[in-house]
Amino acid sequence: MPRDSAAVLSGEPAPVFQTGSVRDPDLLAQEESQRNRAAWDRFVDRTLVEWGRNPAALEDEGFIPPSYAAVSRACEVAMFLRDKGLPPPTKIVPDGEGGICFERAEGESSVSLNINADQTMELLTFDDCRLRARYPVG
Amino acid sequence: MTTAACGHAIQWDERPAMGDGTEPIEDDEYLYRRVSLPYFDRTQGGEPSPWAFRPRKYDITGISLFRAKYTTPEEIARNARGKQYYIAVLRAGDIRSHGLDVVPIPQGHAPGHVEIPSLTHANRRTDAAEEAIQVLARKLCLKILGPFP
Repeated sequence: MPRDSAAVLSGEPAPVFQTGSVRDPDLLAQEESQRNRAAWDRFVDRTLVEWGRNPAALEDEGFIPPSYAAVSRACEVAMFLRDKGLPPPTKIVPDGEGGICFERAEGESSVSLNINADQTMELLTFDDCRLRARYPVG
Repeated sequence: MTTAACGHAIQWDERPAMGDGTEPIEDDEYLYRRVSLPYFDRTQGGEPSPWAFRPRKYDITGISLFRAKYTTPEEIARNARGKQYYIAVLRAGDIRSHGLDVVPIPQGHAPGHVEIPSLTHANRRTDAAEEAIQVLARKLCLKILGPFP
């Protein structure tokens, strides 16, 4: 037996399929992609479609619910980004002026994709709450 | 005594002597901000959406908050429209330490009404306003209460 066999054989024995290091990276990527896709679908089905169906539920003092056009545009954008394999937003919120915002926050960074009532769009990126970039998109 | 996620100790039953609402706001005063339901998800936790601090059409002179020593979260949330609201808790000194002023505006409002005058409907799309609402939501909310009623 080689001198370092003891080191090689040390540690808790475990079935190979439970060992993270031998998971196929492609499989992990595929799983993540499926999770992302499912999350996008939940936002569309549970949030955007519901706002389109019943915008009055969001009405409030000085608060304009998302317009039908903004909801339609947001659905298109969500499905486009989903099909591009991008990670889903952490929140989708009404902007109170007839538009919709997709927000994604990761640690100290955050991104806002604003879909305005007139269907124009703007992307804003923040790092530790400081605005790093903003530009029209679409 | 409650300790918020950020580690601040919050003495909820602390009600210092009240004035007429025009006295200066002390740095250690707690302030309430009404938050519409879509801007916070209790099941997800974390912080509210920055849009909870975005000025609305009626925020001509600044966004509104209320001094905790004058009111309660339940009173702030009360409305005739049957809506529920969360209440975000912030501290005046924290707001000032990020370069935002907060001033008492009791006239024509509920007791303890205050405003952040640098955030108005007119300037809501400026870079400074976009950064300010990020700071308020992501750094300065000590706790979210509710929803009420």
